[in-house]
Amino acid sequence: MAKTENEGSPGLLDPDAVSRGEALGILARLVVEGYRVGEHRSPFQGFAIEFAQHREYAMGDDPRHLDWKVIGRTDRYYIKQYRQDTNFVAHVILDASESMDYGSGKITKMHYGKALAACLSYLVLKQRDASAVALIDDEIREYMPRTDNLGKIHHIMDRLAAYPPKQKTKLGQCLLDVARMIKRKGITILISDLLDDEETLQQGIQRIRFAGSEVIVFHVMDPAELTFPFRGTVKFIGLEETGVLETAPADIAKSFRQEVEAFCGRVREICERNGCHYVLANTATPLAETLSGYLVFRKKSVA
Amino acid sequence: MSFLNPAVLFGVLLVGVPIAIHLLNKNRIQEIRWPMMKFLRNIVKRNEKKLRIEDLILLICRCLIVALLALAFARPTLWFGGGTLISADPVAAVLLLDVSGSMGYGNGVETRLDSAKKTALEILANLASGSSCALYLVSDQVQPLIPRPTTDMSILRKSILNTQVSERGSDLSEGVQQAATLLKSLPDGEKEIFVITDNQAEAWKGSRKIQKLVEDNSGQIAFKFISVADRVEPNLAVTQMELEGGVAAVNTPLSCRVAVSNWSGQAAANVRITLSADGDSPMNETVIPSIPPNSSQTVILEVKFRDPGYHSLTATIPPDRLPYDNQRAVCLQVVDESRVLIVDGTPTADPVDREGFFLAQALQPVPKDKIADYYLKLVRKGPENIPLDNLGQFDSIILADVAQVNAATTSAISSYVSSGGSLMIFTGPNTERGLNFWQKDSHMLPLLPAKLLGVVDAPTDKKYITLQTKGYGHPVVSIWNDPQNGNFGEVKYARHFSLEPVDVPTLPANVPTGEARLSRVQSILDFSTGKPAVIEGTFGLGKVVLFASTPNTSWNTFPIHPAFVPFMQRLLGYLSRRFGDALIVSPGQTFIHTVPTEFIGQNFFVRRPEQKNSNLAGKIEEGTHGGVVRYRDTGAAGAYALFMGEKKKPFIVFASQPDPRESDLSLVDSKELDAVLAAAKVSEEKLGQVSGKTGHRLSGTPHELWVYFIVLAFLLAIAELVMAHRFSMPK
Repeated sequence: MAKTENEGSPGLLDPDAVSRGEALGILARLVVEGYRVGEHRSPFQGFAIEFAQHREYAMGDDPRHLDWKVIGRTDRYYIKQYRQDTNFVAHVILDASESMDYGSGKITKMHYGKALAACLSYLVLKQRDASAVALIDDEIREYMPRTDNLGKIHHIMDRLAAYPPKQKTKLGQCLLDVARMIKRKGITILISDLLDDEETLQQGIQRIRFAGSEVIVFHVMDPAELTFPFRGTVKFIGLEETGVLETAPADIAKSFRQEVEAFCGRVREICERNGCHYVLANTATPLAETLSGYLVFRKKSVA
Repeated sequence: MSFLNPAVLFGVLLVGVPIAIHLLNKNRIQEIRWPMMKFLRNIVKRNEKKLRIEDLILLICRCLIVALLALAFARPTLWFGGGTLISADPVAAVLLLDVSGSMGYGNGVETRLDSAKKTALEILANLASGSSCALYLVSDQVQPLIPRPTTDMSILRKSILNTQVSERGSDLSEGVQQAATLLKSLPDGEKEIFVITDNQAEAWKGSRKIQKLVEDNSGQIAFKFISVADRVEPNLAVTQMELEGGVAAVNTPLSCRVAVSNWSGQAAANVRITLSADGDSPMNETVIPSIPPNSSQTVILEVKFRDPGYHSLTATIPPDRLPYDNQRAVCLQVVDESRVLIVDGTPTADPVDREGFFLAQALQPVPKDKIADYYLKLVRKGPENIPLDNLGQFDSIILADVAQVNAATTSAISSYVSSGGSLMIFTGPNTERGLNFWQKDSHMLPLLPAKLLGVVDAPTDKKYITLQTKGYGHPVVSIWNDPQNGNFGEVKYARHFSLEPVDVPTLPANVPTGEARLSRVQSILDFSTGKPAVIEGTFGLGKVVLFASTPNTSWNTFPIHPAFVPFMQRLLGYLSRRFGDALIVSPGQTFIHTVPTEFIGQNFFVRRPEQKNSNLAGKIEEGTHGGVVRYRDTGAAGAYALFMGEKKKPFIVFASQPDPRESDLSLVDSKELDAVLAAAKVSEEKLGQVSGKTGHRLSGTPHELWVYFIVLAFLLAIAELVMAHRFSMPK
């Protein structure tokens, strides 16, 4: 396992560092290569490669490609053959709305999301697959079309690093727009705090799934959003122009935590109901830990 | 309800503190940019009302706690059974403030006098504008602090605040008398007398006089009586202290009789009494196992002095809520020797047959080889060779059955006694022969406390006349009231003189007359028939003791009775303490002492009770018979020592002894009080309202409520703690 950004490169997930594309790229490489992509099969492999035909098993073939259904039907051994010249496309959708600009510590959800997007893009490009990156808030603000050129990673990092979150969220609508842009099956990775209408979110996810794409949702949340640790009297100024509220947080902390837990539960349920992977990404957890944790899980679930 | 500490009511403004804290906390707000407003709004909306109510409840609790504490410190008071107190019109008033010893009784927070002072201040505060007031301090004397009514309330308040409790007895009647006299002398108008007292029975001993004053002034003066005590309080006091026994001589055991009185409804157990001399650490102590309710117990403690001179003895019991009567002092002069002249009626007889033989054995009850060291020195003379030019060298002179003496001797003896000497006269056969002298001599007769009527023989059927067997009232013979000490019943008289006590006017106990005349005649010991066997009288500054029979066994068996030696020793001791009364004053009474002329003009210093050092007290003045020391500041009970210049030994000591009756805190009989109040046309009305013109009774029993306020504040604080904890739990 690669060292986390906190151990190997303590500055890389630093907000200033993440604002620099170069640093983002270094981070992504560290995280991904630390996962020993070169030594293990990519967790994304085998899923995006299309089946082409069957042929009879010959000595030396990889028994993993045996089609057991055919064996069961015909009692004869056949392996699956794939169209290996077809790469999959990973659409990385990063929520760049203003709500992502919150962070109780030094790192905001935006910083975390950018780093995560960079890592995922790098991972996909490294294995010679294609990656497209979209930055969304109330519309698709930036779209970097698919590329399988690893050299383009710097451009992607620069665009990610430079983008300032400042608009409201219309997540569901953006997902619908992205779904129209997906031409072939692939993976759609949504990195967001999901602070939008849950119904439209579900519709967006369903649309992407209908388009044949796998969806992975990284639900980015700040630890303060999860634990609500505030004391005294606090004036909460809402991001995305959601108003101002003054209250004593200690009096309502328990209720708030219950509400957030219920929200996460609902979102998880939406994902599971639509066959998506849901990952709660706490910005207090080192990025490498979050990502590698998911990748290990994915490898086990795909295998 | 009134407040005894109204100034503290400003503390109620502190109620603003929790409100200010509440507002400050609200102002100390941090701002946070927050993404999840939707969630927050929903929750706040659900809990807002509840949170507001909880905040309000806690704020109210905190404000109430502060308010209750402020009110408690302001000493809210309800006056029960009250009557109206203050007239709405300007009045000329007299405030009589009881400052007797019992007003020093404390409840742990304040004394009765403190409470009385607060009441007096409250009266002043409520007098109508234009009123004037005089202030008298009343104990067993009246001290007009502000003798005529003044409108200057600030000087009245200051005088009240500076008033201290005295250690004197109490008698309200004189104060009421003086106040009524003062007000009657003023022009017509509203007139009121306020009497603030603890209603002690002793203070009301002149209740009939007060009742008459109230009746005589009805309609002109309103009398208002306020009590600061509503129940009888227990009290232990040292109520008596006397020296007894023989002469106070160096290295000779001296007995001190101490009585402790228990004024309460319960027995007092294990009461420790300590005896100390000259303000030093205790030299003797004892424990009285039990003193029954409302009674006294007497103990005898012994001390010894190593040095001659004036000394003080103080008996002390453990402290209680009335401290001044927990000790009592007595002063004495300790001598290194005492000289006694025995004049034998028949000096030429064999020494054993002389009249003074038994007296000599009784007065020097030590082996012959110890006589030289014994403190009592005897000189034996006959009637013809009495050293008339220097009788003052003797502390006592005993005429042992002398038939008669010449005029010069009689005159010298008369001067000797009137100047303070002690004379004992034994009668007998010689006296019988010289009866004419004893019945008619112009110099001797005035000295005698009784007339010698004639000789009485024992009735033939009974053979002997005996002495009383009980009821020994005189201090000399009081120890024989204890059956363990036996009695005089076995003393037999074959013959005795019949003594008829001389009828003389009774003078006050503490004032030596200084005049050459007989006073204060009393029997020391009686025959079983009730006639005096031994009788004493005060002549000038000295004493004369007359015996009805012989000092030897020719007419009676007394000299060979076991009680004779202690009797004579105690009699000599009693006579030696004849100036003891002059060494005792009542608190506040001026102490007067005569000193030699050469000390006139010199400074004298006084060491007061409980003090280690002496302070300059005044100068010695010129008096009729030499220098005179006058010291007035004797208000504190205890022993005082007077010094001349830098001398370390006092030239005189005296004790200020409070009136023991003042230690009895019993309240006045309600019938007596009701009679006075009925005369004042009492009506029961609520306090706080404006009075009419008639006198009103103030039940005056203040019932302080601060305890309830403190308890309420405490309960509220606990409730606030519990609620704050519950409310702080996250919702």
